[in-house]
Amino acid sequence: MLLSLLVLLAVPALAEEPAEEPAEDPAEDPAEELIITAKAPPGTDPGATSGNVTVIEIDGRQSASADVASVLDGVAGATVTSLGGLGDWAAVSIRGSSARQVQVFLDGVPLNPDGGEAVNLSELPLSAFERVEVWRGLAPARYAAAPIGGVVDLITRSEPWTSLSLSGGSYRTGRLVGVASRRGPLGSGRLEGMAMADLFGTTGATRYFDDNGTIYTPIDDGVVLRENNAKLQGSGLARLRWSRGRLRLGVQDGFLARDEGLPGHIQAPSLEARLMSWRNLLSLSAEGGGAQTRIESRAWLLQRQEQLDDPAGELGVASTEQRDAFTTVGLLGHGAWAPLPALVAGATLQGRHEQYVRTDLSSGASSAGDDPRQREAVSGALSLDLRGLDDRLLLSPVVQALALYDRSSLEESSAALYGSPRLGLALRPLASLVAKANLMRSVRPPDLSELFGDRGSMRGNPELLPERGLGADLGARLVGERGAGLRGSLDLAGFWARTQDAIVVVQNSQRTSIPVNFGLTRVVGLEGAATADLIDRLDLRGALTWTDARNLSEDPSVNGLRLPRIPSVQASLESGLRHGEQLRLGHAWTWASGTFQDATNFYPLAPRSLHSAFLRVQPRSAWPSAELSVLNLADRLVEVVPRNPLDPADDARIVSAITDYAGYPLPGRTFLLTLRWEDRPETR
Amino acid sequence: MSLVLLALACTPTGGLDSASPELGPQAVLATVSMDFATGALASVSLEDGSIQDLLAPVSGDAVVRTVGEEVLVLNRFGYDNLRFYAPGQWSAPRLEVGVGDGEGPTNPVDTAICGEDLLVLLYERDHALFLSPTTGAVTGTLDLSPWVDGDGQSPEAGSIAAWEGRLYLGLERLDRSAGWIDAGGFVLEVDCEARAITREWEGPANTNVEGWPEGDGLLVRGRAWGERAGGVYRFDPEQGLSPLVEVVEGEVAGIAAVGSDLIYTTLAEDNSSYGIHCADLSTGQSREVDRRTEYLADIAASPTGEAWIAAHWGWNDPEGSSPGVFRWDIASCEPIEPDQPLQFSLAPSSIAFP
Repeated sequence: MLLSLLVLLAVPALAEEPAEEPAEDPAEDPAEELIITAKAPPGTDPGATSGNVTVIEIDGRQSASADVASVLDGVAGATVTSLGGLGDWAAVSIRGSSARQVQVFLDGVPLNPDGGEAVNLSELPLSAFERVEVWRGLAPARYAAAPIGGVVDLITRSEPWTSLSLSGGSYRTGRLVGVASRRGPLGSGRLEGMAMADLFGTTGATRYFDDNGTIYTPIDDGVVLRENNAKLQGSGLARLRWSRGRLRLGVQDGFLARDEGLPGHIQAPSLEARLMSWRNLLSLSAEGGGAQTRIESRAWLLQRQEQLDDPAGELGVASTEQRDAFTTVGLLGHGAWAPLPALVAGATLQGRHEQYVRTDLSSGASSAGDDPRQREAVSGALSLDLRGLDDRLLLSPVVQALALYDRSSLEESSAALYGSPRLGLALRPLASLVAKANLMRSVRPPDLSELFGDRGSMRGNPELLPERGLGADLGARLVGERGAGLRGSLDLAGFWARTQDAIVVVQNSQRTSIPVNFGLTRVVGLEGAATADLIDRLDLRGALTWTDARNLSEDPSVNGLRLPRIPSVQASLESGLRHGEQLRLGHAWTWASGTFQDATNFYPLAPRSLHSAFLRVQPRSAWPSAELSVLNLADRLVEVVPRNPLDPADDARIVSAITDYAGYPLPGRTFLLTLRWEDRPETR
Repeated sequence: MSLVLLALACTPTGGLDSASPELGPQAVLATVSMDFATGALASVSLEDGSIQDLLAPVSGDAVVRTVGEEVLVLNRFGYDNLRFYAPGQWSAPRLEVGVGDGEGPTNPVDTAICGEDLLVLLYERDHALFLSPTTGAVTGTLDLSPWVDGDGQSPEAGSIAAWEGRLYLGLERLDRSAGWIDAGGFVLEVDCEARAITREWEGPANTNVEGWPEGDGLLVRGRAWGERAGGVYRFDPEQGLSPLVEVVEGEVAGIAAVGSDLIYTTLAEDNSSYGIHCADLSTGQSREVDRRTEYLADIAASPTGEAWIAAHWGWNDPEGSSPGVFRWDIASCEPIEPDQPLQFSLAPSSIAFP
């Protein structure tokens, strides 16, 4: 955090770069071109990889009210679930996976290595990022990860830009964001600095429909306000990068501090429980190389602390005052070598040390001394990019292994080695068309709590196997351009995935439960995404996903049933109409078919259609822009569901709050007004 | 103390069965999914063993009780309500009563008729509620705060049984702030006319009271605490607690008794398995007759002298688990069709015999 403050002071002092340095001409070095094509940076060009990746540029098309969760919600194959509205916990699953089976990276640094937890998307300020990459299924070897669902990589801003925005709206929601990014010469090279600070707060007092837990007694129903749902979050990101030729050195620090009420289940609301979170990610990076080689290295220290205060035991367990501290130290190196024009060989090695300490603040008992929970992880990958047929064919095999050594105490330990090979194929019959196929093995190892218990009601199981996935997909991407007036793309893919040994928690007495490998799932689906930019005035983004996600566990009560909270059909359409920089009108529509809340498929969730819109005006470029955004335009609070879903003869219907998770209603219509002043060389 | 109470008579609408034929003696069960997220009612005919499954949705971890001729479902796990059903009329309850008070879960755990009203134990509160079984209106409270244990929250009143016109409560008393450790236990006598606690007896840790068909008093089970050993006790208000069966390893999880014959279950110290034991109180003999890795969530004595044991998936061997109801003849201590437990779509977790 100290680094962030220093950068915040230094960034404004950097002079604007007076003139662009002449760009290196990759045509002068075919090997350089190949390396660039293979790296590009890898994944930025969805047409240059066999993987199915969606690249979302954060460039003004999005509303000021958008967050990482809403951006991901419109991605084909992705499902975002939330415990509420702006600022409430939200997580993403990809292709029917669980949220923990999706790994989230920040500039290539894993925020939840090996799916140790589901990342809360609401903690991540969108303004810090210039693009979000969503890898569905196969992820490039450079991540040294093989998650079952996929990878979300958040890439921080690098272009020169200054912005200050102030927002306010419903539920006393307010946000103040400042971003400054500059470049300038330093010595024989170039220094780039960026700093971002974000302050967000809300009462979270959203309206919701409350049936008081009595579905047969409508007279006690009503619309009430969510209590104890206030949030206050401050976050910042600062980065310095120095580059000279192919050499680039960087240091980056991102911190977050958050204080929030935990409102609990609406039928058992919590009025006092609170959660305070703190996170800091410090990373160092170095990149360099020669004509045929490129090396990237990264070191990071990720510290996260969460303190739960539930003095009255309102969350249903006991009076709780506990602090969880997670520390991860990691080192990653990735090298690429192009000895031949048609061959790029890569090697990635990542080492990581993790520590988890839980402290009971009421008693002072801590796991730090006698009962450390630690993990050492080493993962390595060897990859090849083989090109042929005049550069129309790309074959990308990857061999990857993950070694883990976990320990809780001197007597409890667990060591394991997992392999996750992958094979990707891309064929470009036309310049504008690429066909893709991938086959992959993936893994989510058990985390430290699953192995050694949470020191509460959940006991550990050191014999746990990892969740293992086998997946395949087949797809194509078509891009088109007609002059300067029309640009578009179409991505289609069919996918299949099977996950075995899914970890589920089984209760064995009133007060104990234990995780076991008992789950088996199968997911098949089709996903499509299309973009169109018309005469620089109209842009469209659409996505359509069909997913058949089934539980194949031996538990007869769920065998063959649909996985909960994975709609069979999801559609989204984002449109924007603009007139230069003076006016932009945006609309977003999402639709999800019905699904189920629960694994036994008792409780259906009705189909859901939600509209949001925003209007942004900036009459003069020197003026700040003003934007009014409205989420959930139709103020949908409720859905109609069967009263007794177990009785086909009972056609009675009841009204129920719209939720992703039972007991956690989504908010109704939300207004937000934003004033933004920004200065950047190129704006949309 | 605020009470948000909803007590309204609910006339079932839509789907109401027409006058139901005589159903005969039956068992009513709450069944629950492996993840305890959903549940459903089921019934078993005691005449022909036929099973009716998925009758009505209930919360995960629901409890079923009988009140008169009605079946009462206590929904917990975030729902905190009571539903009164006439057996066979499962499409909608006669009455639905919310017992939440807007301040965290109340967790209704047991109930019995007390005078003209229903006494409902709330596991998360330092008081119990009196409700009208006709209208669901709260008619009073029973203060249990003098018996709150070290966590300052609740004495964990977890069981209730009637004997000779009075009710007796079992207080589990678990100090949650210290990791749910034992903090002793109590048996309390409730005077239903005065609506007050009139007497108390110190019991073993995690005290639970149970009815005792053809028995002389009530049964109490618990863990060792102070000078009291863990096991099964006889209780009557004149003599207090008298030890019947001592259990040294593990704890007694449930009892089904008829007269001097007992079948009881014990949970192993490491929570990995349950023992099923038979005891003859006339001879003082007790022996283990089976050991299972399933989670034995409930045991109840049927009107026909059988012990019905509700088995849920156990984590020790989930793939080898046989969720269902295992039956034993209490008098002879013989299993009844041990290879054919009564099975349902979900796993049984609570049993009542209306």
